[in-house]
Amino acid sequence: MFCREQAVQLHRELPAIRKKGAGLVFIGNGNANFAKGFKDEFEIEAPVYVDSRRKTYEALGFSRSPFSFISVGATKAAARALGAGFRQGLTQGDAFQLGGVLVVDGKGEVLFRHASQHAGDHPPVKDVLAAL
Amino acid sequence: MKVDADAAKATVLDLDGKAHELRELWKDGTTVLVWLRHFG
Repeated sequence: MFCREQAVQLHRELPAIRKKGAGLVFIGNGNANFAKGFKDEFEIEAPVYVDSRRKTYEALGFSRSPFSFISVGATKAAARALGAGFRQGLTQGDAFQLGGVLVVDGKGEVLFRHASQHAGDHPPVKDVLAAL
Repeated sequence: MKVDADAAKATVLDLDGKAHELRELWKDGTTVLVWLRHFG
């Protein structure tokens, strides 16, 4: 549900991202079949990559915790996502893994970083766009 | 601050199964990279 919410919200901004001369990619920790289903279901035009072993998550300090969806923040995020019409699908990957967002320029400089602290902890889209 | 060098060399797979170092994903310019919790 949270992944769907984040992907759809950011993907809606793909024209604005491209207008600023930037790109958008998604990385998930399920397998390629999960990724293809995800891409098709949500009509994701941006490239989607798979990190089944979660090596990039680990290298970038994105947390993994069985308590990631048991918190006040996660409960509020669930209410927000449900209110926006998003529903939980089958978990296709590691349910305990948290994600994050980086904006990186062509030289590898990090212009923006957000590491989720709990399930549904996504940065405001306007903050991501402001980094471009 | 640059992306950690080891992280930049970590690999992800495209949907055809081809491996890409993370740094390849921003080689063409500024890129928003979104790590999803999972694909569900």
